[in-house]
Amino acid sequence: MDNIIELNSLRKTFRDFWLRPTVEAVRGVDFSVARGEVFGLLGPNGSGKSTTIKMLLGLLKPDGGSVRLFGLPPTSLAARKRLGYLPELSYLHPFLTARETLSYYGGLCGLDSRTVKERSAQLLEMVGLQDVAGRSVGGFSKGMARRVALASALIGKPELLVLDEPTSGLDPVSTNEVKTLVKALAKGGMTILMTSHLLADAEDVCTRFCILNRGEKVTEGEMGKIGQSLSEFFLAKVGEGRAFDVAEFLK
Amino acid sequence: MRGRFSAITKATALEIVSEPLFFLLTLSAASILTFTSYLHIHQFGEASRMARDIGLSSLLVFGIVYAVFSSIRTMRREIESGTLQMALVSPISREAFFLAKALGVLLSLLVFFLTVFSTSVITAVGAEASPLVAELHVNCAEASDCCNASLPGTLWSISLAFDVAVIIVPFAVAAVMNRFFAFRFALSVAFAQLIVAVAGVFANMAISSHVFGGKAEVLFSLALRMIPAGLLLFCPMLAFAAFALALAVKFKDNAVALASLVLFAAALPIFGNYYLSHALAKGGSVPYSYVASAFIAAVPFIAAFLFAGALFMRDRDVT
Repeated sequence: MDNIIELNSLRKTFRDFWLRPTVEAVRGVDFSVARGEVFGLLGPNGSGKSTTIKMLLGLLKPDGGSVRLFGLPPTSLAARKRLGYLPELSYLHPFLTARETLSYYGGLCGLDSRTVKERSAQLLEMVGLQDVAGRSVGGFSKGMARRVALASALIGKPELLVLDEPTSGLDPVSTNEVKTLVKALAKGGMTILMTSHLLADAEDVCTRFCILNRGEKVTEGEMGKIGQSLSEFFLAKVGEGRAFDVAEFLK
Repeated sequence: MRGRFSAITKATALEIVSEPLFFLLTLSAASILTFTSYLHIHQFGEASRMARDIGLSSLLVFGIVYAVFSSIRTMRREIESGTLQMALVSPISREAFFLAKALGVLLSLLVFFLTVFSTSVITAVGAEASPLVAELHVNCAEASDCCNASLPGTLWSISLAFDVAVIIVPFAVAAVMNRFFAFRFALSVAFAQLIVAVAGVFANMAISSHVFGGKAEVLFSLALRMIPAGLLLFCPMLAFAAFALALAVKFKDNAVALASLVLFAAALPIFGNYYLSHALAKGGSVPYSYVASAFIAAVPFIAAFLFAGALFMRDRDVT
């Protein structure tokens, strides 16, 4: 099978100014994602999902192991030409309008101005922001900013879309819209890697998944073959967590 | 590649010019320069020299402050707001991203420079015209033709109107552009300031030529002599911008501001070579060959800072 992403024994330790290790964020993670898959990288908060994604995208340098994106190193421009990324928080330039934001990211993808204009109009309509295209994104609500960021990730028509917590902070309607969009993109042949700690969202859209906990891979599997709900499976693998003893405090 | 580079350059220049810092510094410099002409009590009979001194020193001090802080803000904002992540995932190398940002800073510095420098020229030329106006007044009084007696007052009013226009017109233009054409207010002010200041220089010269005839050559000569002196001041602005931009990739705002302050203190003796108001006051002019050699001397420093910045950018983890 044609693997688009390959991670082998990936490691990352964050260090302080004096290079003393502060946290070992990723400890020997490996998985691969095949073309056309919707792959979920799951795990509780602080499990190393975002760090793994950032190493995959070439934003962080791994301390060990290897990453291949389309068979190339993640810093390769040829690999990045085929990539779209939606970060956990919608990082946008607040002084740009929605249209200008898409134009900026279209320019970064190397698109000519006519193509940028056409795709921006299509994407703004797709994410339902055509009426506010001329407004600065600094004044947008979280949901609107998320849509602009999603449209920015799609403007280069990537083969691989990396979504870091795509539904984080969205209301149920917007969450549903994002999930529908992800399914539609996957149906169109796009490979999608998404991280989430919201298991219901992952269960709805992912075909395969990998669970991380405390920087290590706990398990990997196919969504239809776990024989129980993803939530039950997840808790069984990661643990129920501790119960807080509030009674003493409330006395 | 060119399209990617220009997208970053354009967004950087747009961001910096829309900043309140740009407003504050250009407006402060323009206001100080404008009202200098009307502070007779502090001029000790050397109105023109004072106008030039204040003009060029404003350009140097405000220019360096602007260069340092706009460079720090644009780079730190990219890093801290996370937009750097989005940009670096796109197919552009980190080194090219840094250099595109540097070019954006340079463009915004040009807008700042042209605005403040044009205002300096308007003020200095206006102050230099004072004796000519006084002479005109005497001539009018000696002549029996009283219809020209009000000319000096009229000229004074025109001069004041010019100066005030440099400040007020950009805001009025920006308000109209914002209200009726949905242009950004801050950006419109910046560009209107630039256009009004540059147009003001030409209008000032045209009116001077009409009123003073052959004697206006003195004013033209002053304006022309100020150009190389002003250009010379662009060198330290560029060097400080490159220095601050490079450090901002690796260090936090306060650390970079402090390092820039230390560099400023260390470079103070060198600024004597860049600040030539005294030569201008003696009627001298700065040869363009001197300006060229100053730029050539600044290039290795600017290149070294940019090279270091590109290396910092290449090696940093983007979290």
